[in-house]
Amino acid sequence: MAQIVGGFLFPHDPLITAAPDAAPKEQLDAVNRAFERIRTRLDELAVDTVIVVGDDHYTVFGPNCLPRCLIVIGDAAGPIEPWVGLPTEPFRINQPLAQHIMQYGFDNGVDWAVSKNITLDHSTSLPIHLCVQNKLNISTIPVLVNCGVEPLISNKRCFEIGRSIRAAVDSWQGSERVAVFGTGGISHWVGMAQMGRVNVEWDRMIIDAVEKGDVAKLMALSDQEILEQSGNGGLEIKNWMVAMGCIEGFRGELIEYQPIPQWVTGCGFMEIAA
Amino acid sequence: MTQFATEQALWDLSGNPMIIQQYCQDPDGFLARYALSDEEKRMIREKDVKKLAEAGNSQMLIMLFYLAQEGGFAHLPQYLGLMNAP
Repeated sequence: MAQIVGGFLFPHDPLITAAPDAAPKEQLDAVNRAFERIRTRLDELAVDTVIVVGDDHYTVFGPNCLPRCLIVIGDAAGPIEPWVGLPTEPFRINQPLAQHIMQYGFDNGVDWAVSKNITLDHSTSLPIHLCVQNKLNISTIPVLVNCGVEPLISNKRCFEIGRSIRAAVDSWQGSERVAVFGTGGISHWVGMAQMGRVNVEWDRMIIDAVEKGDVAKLMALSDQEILEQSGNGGLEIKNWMVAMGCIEGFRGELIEYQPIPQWVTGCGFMEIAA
Repeated sequence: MTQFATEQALWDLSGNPMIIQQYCQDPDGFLARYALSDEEKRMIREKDVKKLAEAGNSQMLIMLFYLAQEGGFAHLPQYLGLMNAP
């Protein structure tokens, strides 16, 4: 029987690859060690499929269509942005499981938007490139939730989508060992006048809540409060909430936290497990 | 004459080099495709990013638009200078 065996929360900051040397060397080294830690844990957990939760940055999707939640069931490649500093490559997609998650959602209250073919932005592409693209035994399932462009998806809905994904995996006939990535955050102000600010106190509060598995505290955060305290990029903790919904009764363990103004982001890396 | 039309124009001018080239060749003609007010057209033509933000447009999108128009990520400091101008 398929099962979700682990979860990881970490940034998809494009400057990690677009401008690695902009960060102080000790912080760059710490971030690289955090990614190495995630890659090692995927091996230790014998993961063969990673569900990568991200958000489009008004890049693939425009005002003509803003999917609230989207699952890739066919082919995907990325990143679409040439400036991210990564090659645009096709990804290995676990299509049978993705289609099962889609159908389970349709039958149980998640009206997924569906992509049969997409070139993704950095939010899912960077994590795939840095964590699994060189692991030929691992395929992925990209998922997008709209936490970057108004109208925003709610915290509660993100958690519910995560629970639906978990139930779908639990009911799948295969034997996959699945990890989920909640990507993005923590505090950063994308394109806003405060861009470059990092709110360490807020980031630590989020990390503390994840460590304790305090879903209620995270769910209670209003969009306005998140925006004011951690910027529009801080809203990406909604991607984390999808991952949290995938792991019932989770607790979090901090892998690394680095506030890096040069990368305009509070970079938090965590593992979550029941 | 809506924020949505402004965001559509900004989005169209943020990614596709061929569209950006069309715009550069005839800005007024290009912007006539959209239901924009004269002030909205001015904000786009003059890359008045601060006013675009004050009008409620996505600031992430405004940044992408500005960087696409100016030639790339190296122009982020200028963008932030404009956003933080008094």
